[in-house]
Amino acid sequence: MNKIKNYVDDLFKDIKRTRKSEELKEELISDLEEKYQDLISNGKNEKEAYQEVIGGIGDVDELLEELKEPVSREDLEIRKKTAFIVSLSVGLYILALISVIVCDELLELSDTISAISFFGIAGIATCILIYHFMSIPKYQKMDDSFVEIRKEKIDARNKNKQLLNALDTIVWLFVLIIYFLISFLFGCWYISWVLFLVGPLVTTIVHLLVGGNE
Amino acid sequence: MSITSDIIRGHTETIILGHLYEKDSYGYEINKMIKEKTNHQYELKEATLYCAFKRLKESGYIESYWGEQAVGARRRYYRITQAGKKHYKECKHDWETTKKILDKLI
Repeated sequence: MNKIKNYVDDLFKDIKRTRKSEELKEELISDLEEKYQDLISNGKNEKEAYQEVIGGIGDVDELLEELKEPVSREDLEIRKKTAFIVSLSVGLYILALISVIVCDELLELSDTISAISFFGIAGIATCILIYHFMSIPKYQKMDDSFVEIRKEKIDARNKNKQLLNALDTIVWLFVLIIYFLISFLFGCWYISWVLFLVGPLVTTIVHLLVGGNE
Repeated sequence: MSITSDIIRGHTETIILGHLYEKDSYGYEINKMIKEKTNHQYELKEATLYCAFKRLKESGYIESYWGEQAVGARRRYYRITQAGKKHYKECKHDWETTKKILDKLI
């Protein structure tokens, strides 16, 4: 009996597990197993019965062809957009570094202006990145397959975690920006490091507020 | 035999509709009926059978539902629709006409 199931499983091994494909598989297995039982009751031995059942399936290519899905256009578009966003951000980071050199060496502006220009540009790049990755739907629902439904449930659980991670990043970024701004503006390097103790405090509070139910 | 098979295969959908006209049924039962009615001379491949189900379903001639079994796995049953019944009658009429013509010619 299991041999038939294994054989059918093997036929479906390259097929995406959707509700449609799982149902077809279930139907096929139950039909084949009933046929197998009938052959056994008619006096065939197990090997003969198995071979007759398997031989009777025929060419399933046409049947399975319909179940294969190409990569969706939506996925392609997201991939293209991600590539664009990432290269844009990397470009901005490089520009941030260049701006420091330009302000500092060529224009001989104060350190504060260099710092503002660096963190300003780097900040924009980071915001673009965070916004993009948070706004992509984590899972594209393509059809009503149960595997996907299950994945969505996990996604919903992970969503909170993703949000917290993104918030952490933002908090730390702000701490860094404030640290440099205060230090450059007031020259208080000896004490401004205290800000880095504020970071964990803020993230902990955020975690408690947002993820309190976990 | 291969010529016979080809001709029969061309009417797979009508044969299935004819069987479902009498009662709701599932894949193996339909195939068993075909085998019995033809004295074990003819039997459909599962692949052919399911492809026919799929086409009939897409045309709106049949519907499927899951029937619970007392023992073992659940089964997918098929039921003929009104459109299916109408289509079956047309196919049957076509076939009778073809048969008459062929009888005159061969």
